[in-house]
This record gives sequence, structure tokens and C-alpha cells, in this order.
Amino acid sequence: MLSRGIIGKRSSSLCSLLACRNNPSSGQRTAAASAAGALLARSHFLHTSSRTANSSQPFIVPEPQFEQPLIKPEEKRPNIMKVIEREAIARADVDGRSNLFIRRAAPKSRLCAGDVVFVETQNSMSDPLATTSFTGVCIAIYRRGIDTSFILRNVVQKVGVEMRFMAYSPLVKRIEILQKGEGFRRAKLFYLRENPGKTFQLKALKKMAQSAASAKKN
Amino acid sequence: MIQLKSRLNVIDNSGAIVAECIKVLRNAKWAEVGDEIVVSVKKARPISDKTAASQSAAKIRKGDVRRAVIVRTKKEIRRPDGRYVRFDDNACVLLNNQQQPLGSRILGLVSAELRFKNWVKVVSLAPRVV
Repeated sequence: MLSRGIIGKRSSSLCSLLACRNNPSSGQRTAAASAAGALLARSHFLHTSSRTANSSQPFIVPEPQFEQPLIKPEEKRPNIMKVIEREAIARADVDGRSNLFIRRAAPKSRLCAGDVVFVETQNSMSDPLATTSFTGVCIAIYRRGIDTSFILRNVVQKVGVEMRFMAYSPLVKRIEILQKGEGFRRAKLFYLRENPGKTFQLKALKKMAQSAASAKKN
Repeated sequence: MIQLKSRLNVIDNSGAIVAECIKVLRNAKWAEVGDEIVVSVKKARPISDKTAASQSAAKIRKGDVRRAVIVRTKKEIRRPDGRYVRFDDNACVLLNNQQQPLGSRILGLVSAELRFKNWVKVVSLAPRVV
């Protein structure tokens, strides 16, 4: 039956979540007991009669990364997708870069449209030392949970270049704010494509970018 | 996304300034960075006496039909790691029939996509690759 598959392996966070929904005090249960609870919870959703025929087939229960699902204590009926999103970000957030994308963070530590940002990316997963760096003014931020991305614009050799980076990609090694933007009153600065003004005439920033690039190498 | 009638800046020193795409050499409507296209030169620099006398320099006039490789597009290009790159204009480099650049220098930056599509000579001539 299903039980042979589940019990004996640690339940995934999803299973514990299902168990939590049925039994609010599951935090104190043992792994086996919560697995049994998960089994009960699952049986609401699965047709056990068809499963008995497939009991010999192994199925994979992924190893949980988080002992307990990342549910806040005040959430009585947590939204599963929100919890999964939160766990995915926590998994990808190795150097605390999620603090850049929190809307309510302190203005100094938050990434805003108009900031000058330096990003260092690995070119491929195979060689961690082969990196490319790009500096630019952040003209847009798309806050989409794990798919959060931002666009940096710079003028390189008299040609405007825009690069869109996925914030939680493992290939993005470093995101640093070189200079906070001032006087930008919009969330999306697409007008800078036609009317750059003095935004891209910052020669001091080239030096800052170069020093930021070499700082991590040392 | 360059197609028939798209105008591109020519960024080598062959003498052409603006070229218009007349054929995408792929079984597709649009061409991206690293694709070869056939262009008609719409604007060219007047041929100097030095170029007229020289045997090896390419003599490009307005109305010439040549092949070209696209090096920059205004439409964003997706890189495999999820990055997107977009330039402010569409640009190309003229080629001869052996897929070698006609000019001897490239003036301006090119996209790194060319490296993956085996345009080695173009990438090596470019002053900056993004």
C-alpha cells in the first residue's frame, strides 16, 4: 500500500503541510506519526483502490530541505503556493539578496528604480570563476517571487545596452548597489531611453564598477 | 527580429552606413543576432581616392547587394541562463561570399551571441562584446 512507500522516509514539507491542515498540533508529532497523518490526509485525494495495483512501483519522495514548512505562526490556513514560493526563495537566497527586493525594507538597503547596480554573473555552472560583470542604472524591477527580475541600462561605446537579470538565478553571483538614485519619481524608468539627461554621464561610476569588480577577486 | 525591409546600421569600415534587409537566409520570417541576411546598401560613405586606388579595400556603393550578419538587435535576446540583452539599435556587419567580414575593423559593440553561432572573426575584430 501507500504506507510502505511513505513511512520509513521523511515526509516532504507538502505532506507535513497537509497534516498540519488536519491536525493543528502536528508540530509536536514524530516524523512517523505525521507521515501517518499525511497518509490519512492524502487518502482524501487519492483513489486507494487503483493504487493497490501499483504498490510495487517505487515513487520518489523528495528529501525535504526544511524540517517544517515555512509557515508564519499567525497563518492559520496557509496558502500552499505562498509557502512553496517562500521556501523556493529561501533556498535560492544564499547571500541575502532577497532583502533588496522587499518592498517595505529601509530605503538604503532596498533596490529602487534609478539605483546604479553592479551585477556579476557566472557564464556557466561548470566554471565558477568565469564571470561577466555589468553595471547599469536599474530602470525596472519585476517582483514576481522566485521569478523576480530587474533591468539594468547602461551606455557602452555610445550604444545603449539593457540587460535583464533574474535575481534568484544561481548564475548571478553578486548584486551590489553602487549608488542610490535620487530624484526618480517612477517605478519604471523607460523614459530614460529617449531622455537620458545626465543619468549616464557618470564617469566616477566606471571607477566604482571597476573597483567593485576587482574587490571580490582579491 | 530583422525582416524584409528592416534597416540596420553597418558598423564596420567597409563604407556602408545603412543597409536594408532584403532576405533572411533562414527558413523563417525573422532574423536574430548571429543570423545571416542579404542586404541592400541604402547609404554609403563616398569612396575616397585612396580606397578607389587600393586593390584590397572593399568598394561599397549605394545600391550594392551584399550579405551581412546581424550583430545587435533592438529586440531582446534571451540567453540560456535567463538573462535578456537588448541594444538601442539594429546593427550588422557586411560579409563577402566566404562569410568573412568585408571591412577590416568593427566600430562598436557586438552581442556575445555571435560567439555561440561561430562568428569567430567578427567577435575577434569587435572592440567590445556584451
